[in-house]
Amino acid sequence: MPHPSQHEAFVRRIADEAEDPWEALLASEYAECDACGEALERLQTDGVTELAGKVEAVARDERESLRARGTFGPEREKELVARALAPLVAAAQSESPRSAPSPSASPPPSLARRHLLLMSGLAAAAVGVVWIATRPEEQPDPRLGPAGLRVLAPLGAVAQWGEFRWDARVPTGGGFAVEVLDEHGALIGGVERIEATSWRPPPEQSASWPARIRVRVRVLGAANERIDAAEIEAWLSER
Amino acid sequence: MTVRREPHGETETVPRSDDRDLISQAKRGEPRAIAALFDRLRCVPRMLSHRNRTYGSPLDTQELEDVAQEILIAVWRKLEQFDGRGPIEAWVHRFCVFQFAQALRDRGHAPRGGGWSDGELERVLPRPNEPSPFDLEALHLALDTLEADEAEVVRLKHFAEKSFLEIAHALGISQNTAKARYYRGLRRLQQRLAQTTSNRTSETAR
Ligand SMILES: [Zn+2]
Repeated sequence: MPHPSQHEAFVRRIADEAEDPWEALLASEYAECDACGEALERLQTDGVTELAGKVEAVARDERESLRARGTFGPEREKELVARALAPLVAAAQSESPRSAPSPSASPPPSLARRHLLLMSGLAAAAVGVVWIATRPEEQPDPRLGPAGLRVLAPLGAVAQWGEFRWDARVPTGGGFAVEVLDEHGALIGGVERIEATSWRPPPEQSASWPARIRVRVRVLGAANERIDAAEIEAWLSER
Repeated sequence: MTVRREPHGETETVPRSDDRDLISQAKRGEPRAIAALFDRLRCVPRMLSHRNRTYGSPLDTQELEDVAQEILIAVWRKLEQFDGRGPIEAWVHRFCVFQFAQALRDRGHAPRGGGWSDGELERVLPRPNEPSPFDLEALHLALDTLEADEAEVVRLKHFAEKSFLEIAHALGISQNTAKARYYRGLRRLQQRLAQTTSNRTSETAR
């Protein structure tokens, strides 16, 4: 067969003979020939260009929507979201507090401790829902919780377990506690109380951590009372 | 979009966004994730009001707010179905497309007999060459009926604006395979659209 100089003639023949010319091309010895692919594209006459234009219009519509600025304004938007969803969140939390740890989980540190963690999580969730539902206007800071605690690093995919950093308004005499947990909720590292808004895990700790961890940061008052808490997930990115 | 090349020459595409983690944390009741998700879902009223404006504001503010509430509740109930392909906003956008079209129907702005009269078109479609809300809805529905590998190529081509060469690289397939999937997908779309149009015509004829 005359090839590669005759791509056009070749695809014309398969386009005439085969029900699905693309399948025929892929089944032929020229399956990988880009020139044949281009020639076959030029032969398409069954209205695909028009349809491709319509799909493109849908995609353009999506892009424009994603970029668009609304007319409600951020505060009204927040209100609308909270009004629709806060009751659903609250209802879900009252009927099934938190998913149980997976059956493969290693035994938790202690039942009492687990209970405590659960209650603190629930309390924080309840605070969050109420805050979102009731105070969208007075509280422009999107950060949740009384101390505005926000974990900055690690967060999501990271190359290594470097410095842990967070941001919060801390009361006089207050400090922070950091807990590192594995995905079953077992405590595998952390620091009990520090004043700084960063902490670098000692290598002897982080060396044995799994690829995915949960990090819990608590803001503590002068009497070690819990003021705010945040939990994030982080994992080592693949290289 | 990230593409991870597996050992042994196998290629697996991982177009998963971290938004799936956000959703599962929010569904577990993590307060911070709930707050973050609520913040992201502000896109619903935003996109909806944009859509309404695009079509000449057929819905008033109260109607828009009602539709936004309906969408938000539907989104929340279906969060587990989010597949992580693209950002959550793109997924949510589909709800806006469907519910906006439905709202127009409910309020009597829908086309009759499978098409728009000239007057309706003028009223609801101020921008020429703009697909109607119902065209968009029909196309989204038709896109849902594609096989996964076809849908992936169509999405990459149009929504992610990739060339066939880029798609071939990303998926670890030949350009011709990418094109074969794409054109097969378009043909299927064409069939589905023809079906929905004839269904709509026969429905209104009854
Ligand atoms: Zn060729």
